[in-house]
Amino acid sequence: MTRIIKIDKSIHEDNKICADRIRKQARENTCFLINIMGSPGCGKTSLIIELIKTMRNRSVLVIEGDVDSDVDARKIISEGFDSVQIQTGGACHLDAYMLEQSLMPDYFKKYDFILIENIGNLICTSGHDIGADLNIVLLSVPEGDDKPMKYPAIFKDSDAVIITKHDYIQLSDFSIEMFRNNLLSLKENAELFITSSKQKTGFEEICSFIITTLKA
Amino acid sequence: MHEITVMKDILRIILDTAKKNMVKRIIKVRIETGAFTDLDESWMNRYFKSLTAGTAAHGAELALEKLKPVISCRTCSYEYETENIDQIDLQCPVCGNRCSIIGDSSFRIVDMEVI
Repeated sequence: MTRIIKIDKSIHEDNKICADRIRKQARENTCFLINIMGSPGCGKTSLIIELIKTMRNRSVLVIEGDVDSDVDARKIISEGFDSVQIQTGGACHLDAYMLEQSLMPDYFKKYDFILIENIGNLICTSGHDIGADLNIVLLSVPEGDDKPMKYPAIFKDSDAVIITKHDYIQLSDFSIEMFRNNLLSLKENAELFITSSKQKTGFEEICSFIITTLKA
Repeated sequence: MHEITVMKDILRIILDTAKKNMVKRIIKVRIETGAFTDLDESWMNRYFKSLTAGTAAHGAELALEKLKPVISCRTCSYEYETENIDQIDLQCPVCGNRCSIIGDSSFRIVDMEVI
């Protein structure tokens, strides 16, 4: 005789508990975590550097997630900012457990913001809560305006979308209007920003959005 | 690529449940995934088969149900299911206004059939 056992459990439940624990500890110390996602080479590290420069008097730590190497952490440090590196050793996304292990007890007291650069990936990074207060996805102009329809989950789940490398727009057939329409069909109230790290444009708007949204 | 971590999570949950319920053998596990879950079914089955070897879930069937994206009109509330969001026309077939796409990337273990 067989019987049915009801489970009704999301597989992300345990990770969510860990993520909520991180969020709670950070909030108690008025520190905010921001998860930055996007493809390899879309300009995450360059955007982070320009964003910290725009944040001026705020203390910021950057946690760099990569499969291997500490190239990005060294790049951030060479700009005069604090950074630590997580190497996932093959895993294609960060999860709350990996982040919790990399957090030292004084980080939440010492920093106003912790920016987390996730692994370069538009698929696996979505749907994994890492305890961030804001989840932001980047899409560079050379990647094309059709990406929200090809990778809907990450665009739908993010709190803001940033188009990077706007300086390439003249060389490309990327249509901001098409991208915006694709994005709005997935998420009616999507927040969209346009930046160029090379030309240093669009960062004040992102900064105000972060500070207003988080009341930081 | 990330199917293996998901399958390990599933195995942990079903074996815990089996232990608590004095289960001898798991016959079938029912799983429901959101419309935007990016997991490959054949790889999920392959990993499930190899990870369950030697456990109470050895030989169990993995019944996967992927929910379809729903196209919903913001104006007249007309809704219909679709297969592929790449191909769809976002103009409402009833009133002609713009539609939204509804779906998520959830991943839920519904139940399991056991002995």
